[in-house]
Amino acid sequence: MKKFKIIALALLSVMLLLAGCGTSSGSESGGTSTGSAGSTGSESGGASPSKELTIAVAGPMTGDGAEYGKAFKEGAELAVSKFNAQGGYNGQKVKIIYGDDKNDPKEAANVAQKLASNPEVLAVIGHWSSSATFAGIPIYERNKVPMITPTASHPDLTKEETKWIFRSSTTQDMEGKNLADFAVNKLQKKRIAVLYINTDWGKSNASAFKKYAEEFGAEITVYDSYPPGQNIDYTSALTKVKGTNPDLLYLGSLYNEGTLIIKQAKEMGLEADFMGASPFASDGFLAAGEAVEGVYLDSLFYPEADNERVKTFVAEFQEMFGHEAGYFNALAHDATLAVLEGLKQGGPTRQGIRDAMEKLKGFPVVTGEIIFDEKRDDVNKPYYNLKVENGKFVLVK
Amino acid sequence: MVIIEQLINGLALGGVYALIALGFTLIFGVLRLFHISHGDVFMFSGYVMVSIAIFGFGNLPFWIVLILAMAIAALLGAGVERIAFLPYRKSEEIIPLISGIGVSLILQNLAMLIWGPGQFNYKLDVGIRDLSFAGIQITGIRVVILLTCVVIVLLFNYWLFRTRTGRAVRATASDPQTASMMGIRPEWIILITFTVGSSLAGAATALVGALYGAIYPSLGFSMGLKAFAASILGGLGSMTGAIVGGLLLGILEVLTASYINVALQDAVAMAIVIGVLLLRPNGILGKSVEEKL
Repeated sequence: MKKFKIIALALLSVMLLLAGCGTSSGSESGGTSTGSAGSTGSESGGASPSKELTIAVAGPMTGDGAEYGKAFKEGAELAVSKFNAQGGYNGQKVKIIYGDDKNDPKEAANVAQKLASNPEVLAVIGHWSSSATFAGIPIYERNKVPMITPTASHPDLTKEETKWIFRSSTTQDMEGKNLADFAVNKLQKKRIAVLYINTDWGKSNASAFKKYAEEFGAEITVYDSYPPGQNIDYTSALTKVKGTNPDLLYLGSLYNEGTLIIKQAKEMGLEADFMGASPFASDGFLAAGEAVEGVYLDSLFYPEADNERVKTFVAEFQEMFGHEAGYFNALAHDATLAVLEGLKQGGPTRQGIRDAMEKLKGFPVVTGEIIFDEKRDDVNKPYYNLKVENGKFVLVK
Repeated sequence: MVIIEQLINGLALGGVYALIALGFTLIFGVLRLFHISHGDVFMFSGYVMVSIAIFGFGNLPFWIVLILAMAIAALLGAGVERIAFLPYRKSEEIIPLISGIGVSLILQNLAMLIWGPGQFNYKLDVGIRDLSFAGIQITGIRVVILLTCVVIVLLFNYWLFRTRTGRAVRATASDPQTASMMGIRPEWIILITFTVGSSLAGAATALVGALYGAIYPSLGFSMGLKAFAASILGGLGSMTGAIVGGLLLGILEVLTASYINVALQDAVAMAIVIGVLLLRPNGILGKSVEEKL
């Protein structure tokens, strides 16, 4: 009898707990005080009878990539606050809600599901990594939510058939070509060792680089991956690299392990130059100080560029956040601008935004002028080749 | 001679694993307690050490940082024991294990709250230059690691086998009831065991800090896992086994990375651990330990 009472009590508390969880998450994602989620009932998710329109930013707000999620947040916030200051959409202000995917595909799918099933969410800016974006795409496509990724660069993310998926960034194929050209043609490197992180992004980055580097005539002496997740020791891989005497070590890495690898490589006396890709274009990378001096990289955003839009963006960002704008801030900002322009021209519905975004041709943003091609990729973005000198990024002509 | 460099790298890495494994095995051997949060004590003391050494004082000489780290870890370890394991002295063995999981979560999340979830980079100078001979280069820090590990293990052995306290600890390990009848106070022994075991983790954290210059909240988990594997490989309950296991694991990882594939580093090393256990379930140097988990 006693056992029965205990079990009954346990079941009751579990049920209460679940019920409590259900309502709390519902009100969280609703966001408006009128609690009118689903009032319009239309498929495409119309705006509820409140004063604010909702868009979402999805990215790694905690975990490995927390720095990038924060950058997304800041870039998007700047774009939205400017939009609201200029009158918003016919007087209605836009607000942002955030989804934390922890840079994990499983979490990304959860976040996508939550955002998609919230009819107030008109569009999603996200995710950050290719793996997380891959996870979210089928959900956004199925639920007809326009999604634009500011950074994910795996070539297979966008297709002609996925009408709701946009990309406001270049693909790894383009970046690989640019970096290979930089390394082989401009820096005259002949023997290149390649280490890359074993994720969707890393694999596509390294293979694109290898393809074009070999095409341009260089020899790839090492081509090895390392597992993602936080590892601390890369000396074994580096000893292998050192043994092949390369003149350049190319890293398909994020900046956290990138700084570790470069530090350890220099410590073991590897006499080669180092090159990385756009994830190195961040303050976190520069924070490693002395260790990353002389590293080459490329970026879609260069704060000192001689361009009016860049200058304005950098100044406004500095004023709003008190630190210098970076690569991911700029990309998130531009992706948000695309969504807001879609809202302006297409109206506050998911379908309207999507249709208007698709038609953008030459829309000016910080990193270029948006032209979406038939796969909804914005390929009209120039690369800046950079080098770390005295703790800052400088342009390499 | 690439292979010699690789072996030295493996020994240095293995030395770090061995230190953590040694502390872990000591606690297991004496208390039959699987101290699952040992790695997180390692991580948390690392963070505190960095905060004090770098933010508090700028540039301290390495040996002071080492002693500081050991002291911090000892205090933290003793504190963990008092809070998480003392209340469950009389419970079934699984209860302290679960309590340890709780400590692990608390330490990791506390570290994330205080110092942020990302990786934190810093520089710890060891003040010893690199060694270069016959085409081999050994970085100064690796020399320091090897020396420090040897010294600490020797000191530890001396303490365990040549002092009264050490003898008391070994007595409690082999038979707690008789030991208490001989006038050895078990509470005192438990505290000492935790303090000494955790201080070894503290030494490891100072060495890791100097070697890699980075720390992040989940470092404790990954290092702790390697240490468990090393202890089990060497034989749970055997101190020498922990050292052998640690060194072996370090060398295996490094050789796998160089000659097979970097990506398979962890997989192959762990596969070999499993293989050894299949053939010798007590580990390489293990004595028969009753199934208490």
